[in-house]
Amino acid sequence: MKIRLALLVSCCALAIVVVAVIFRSTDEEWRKYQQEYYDLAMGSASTEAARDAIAASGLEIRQDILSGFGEEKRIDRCRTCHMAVDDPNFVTGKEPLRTHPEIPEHNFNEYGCTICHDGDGRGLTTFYAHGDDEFWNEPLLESPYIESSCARCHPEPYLPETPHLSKGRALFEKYNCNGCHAIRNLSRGKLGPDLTNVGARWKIEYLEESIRDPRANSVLSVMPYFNMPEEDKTALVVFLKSRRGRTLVEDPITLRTKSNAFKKANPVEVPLTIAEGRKLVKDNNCVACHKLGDADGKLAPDLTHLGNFRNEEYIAAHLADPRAHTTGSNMPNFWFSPSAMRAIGLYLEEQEGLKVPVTPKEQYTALCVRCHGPNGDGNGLIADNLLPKPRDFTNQLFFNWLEDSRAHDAIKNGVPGTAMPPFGRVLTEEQINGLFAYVRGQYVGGPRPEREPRTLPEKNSTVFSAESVERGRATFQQRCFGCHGRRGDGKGPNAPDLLPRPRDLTSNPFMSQVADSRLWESITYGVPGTGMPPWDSLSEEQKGDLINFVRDASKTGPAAVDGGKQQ
Amino acid sequence: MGDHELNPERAKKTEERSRRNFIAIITAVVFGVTAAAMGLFNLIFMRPRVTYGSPAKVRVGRPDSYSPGSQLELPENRIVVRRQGDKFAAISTVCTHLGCTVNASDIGFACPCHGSVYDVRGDVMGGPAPKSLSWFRVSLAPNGELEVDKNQVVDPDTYLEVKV
Repeated sequence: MKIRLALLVSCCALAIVVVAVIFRSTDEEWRKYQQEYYDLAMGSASTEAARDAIAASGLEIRQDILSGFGEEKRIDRCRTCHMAVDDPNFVTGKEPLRTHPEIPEHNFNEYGCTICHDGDGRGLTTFYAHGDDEFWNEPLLESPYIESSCARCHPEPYLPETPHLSKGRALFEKYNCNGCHAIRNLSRGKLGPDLTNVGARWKIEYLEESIRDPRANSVLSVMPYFNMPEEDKTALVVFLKSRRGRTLVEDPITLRTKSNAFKKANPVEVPLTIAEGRKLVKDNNCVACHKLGDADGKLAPDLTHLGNFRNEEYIAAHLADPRAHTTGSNMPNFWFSPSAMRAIGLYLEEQEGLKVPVTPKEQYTALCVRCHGPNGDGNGLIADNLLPKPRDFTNQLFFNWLEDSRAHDAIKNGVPGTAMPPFGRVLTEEQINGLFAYVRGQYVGGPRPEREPRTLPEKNSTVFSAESVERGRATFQQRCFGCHGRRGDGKGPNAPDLLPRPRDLTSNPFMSQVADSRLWESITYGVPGTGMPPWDSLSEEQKGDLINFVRDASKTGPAAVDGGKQQ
Repeated sequence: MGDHELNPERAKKTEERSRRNFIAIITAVVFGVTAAAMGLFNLIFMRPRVTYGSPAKVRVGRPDSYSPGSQLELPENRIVVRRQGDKFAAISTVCTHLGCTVNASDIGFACPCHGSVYDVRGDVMGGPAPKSLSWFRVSLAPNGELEVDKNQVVDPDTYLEVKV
């Protein structure tokens, strides 16, 4: 008896569950909206035929099947609920039953909905169709962000109908985002992530947050805080959201042609005045990275007293090609006009008046700390952005081996090809000696080993010739490429594991001031405290060929070499 | 009933048995109905509600976008929409021979594949085609556009009259 009763109860429970499931699966959201639409349409229908047609329509899933949007078939079922988008009688209706504003040449049969509005076209509930699901990357776009969709098909830079998008595009250049970020066919920055596909990868909120607080999503980001007005940020987010890889109307071949023809849009010529230079430095947000006066971007060298070390010519050349003087610089190229470069040079040349403190300790704090760090270990505030990395004074092996004359030279004349400026222009001979003595006492320490006398050739005894360079190249590829790289640019496969990093032997400014004798010595005896081992197994001819090869690689052939003197 | 009065013990047993039967019957009915509902809905769910083929119902624009006596080919939907006076009709352009899309010609329709020829009504005039072209039902959608339902074949010369 009990068992039969239990069977009855469980059967009833099953029946209830089945009925509930059937009820739920037939009582869908869209049925309600379609019924509502037909009811309203029936009320406003004027002719008998129209009423008959409405009465004959059943509730069904309506879908637009679209081709030509990069997918074989793109399914939009939005009009299952949004029945009235193409019905002019619903202009004053409430969503989802409301007439869509007419956009010429864009009809629903061909374009569907999600190509502009985003969301999940296949969804049949508000939650999924509007892309509210956390893992759906393209939730419904609201105004003004929907402007970004126009750029999916319209590659023109400025459409009158999309003010935010056009503004964002202009701001991308105004805030010099293009200096660090690459977007295919738009900019060539190399410092930050490529933004060609950023709109497809991230939601609006993420993009907005990344501009407002670059560290919010990536703790190690070096992107500056721009503190831009809210409307600028919105426009920029619209522009970023519009970057979704290639547009749907461009094929890879036209893109390739465009990419070859890519040039930065018209650099503006300016009058050659200091005021103009100041304005350019301000407008281009140099202090986003550099330090100038009180403003400090904490990424790049201090420009506050740049005039003490560099002249207008040097600064203009550095702006024309940041890699010209400092081969490893990661400063973006800003594509200034020649006159703009000179104006900035004139302004920065004026930034003089460095007051050198009295004691070596204060001098170290004032002049050296930003790169070499408060602990002298080469980990200053901006060290990570410098290549070569600033020297680590705690490297006893190296500094106790280094000749005083070379250290003195480096402080006095700077090290060409690196960020080390010529401090000889503000320090006297005694101050230089005092500073180095301070560094040696404070950070290096340890006993200095006796330097055994070495006989070094004054000049490379192997004659510089194409054959010699080729032989040198062959030896280099066998012995040296592991650290110095195939081209000798110091980026070999082992380079990331070595500190100090292997020398960039293609750097013309650096190699110009290195004598053959120093190259010969480094090859033969190695460099203590670095990864460079002694290559005593090489014959004299092989060393000569190697020297000729690196001279060729750095374009410092025999004509350019000048006995180790500064250029 | 008399039994019960005579033998209360037995009467109690009989009563229990009939209650037992009653419960069994109810259970069987509930279970049967549930199983039937489940089976029915499983069958319904087996049939797809939508497919990714080209849609059967297509809207072909407002009546006033056609001029009287004209005929518009819609190759992507494989139909021809014809207006005669205030009457509208839709004719399939799928050749009844091997399914090529026929072209409208001076005399009616001509198939480019194997030379089937149809007259303006869609009846076969020559070639390998076995039967005439289908006419589809045309109706007026609530938004004022003409709607052609390719699932509903109607007799030739069936027109929809619309006040333009």
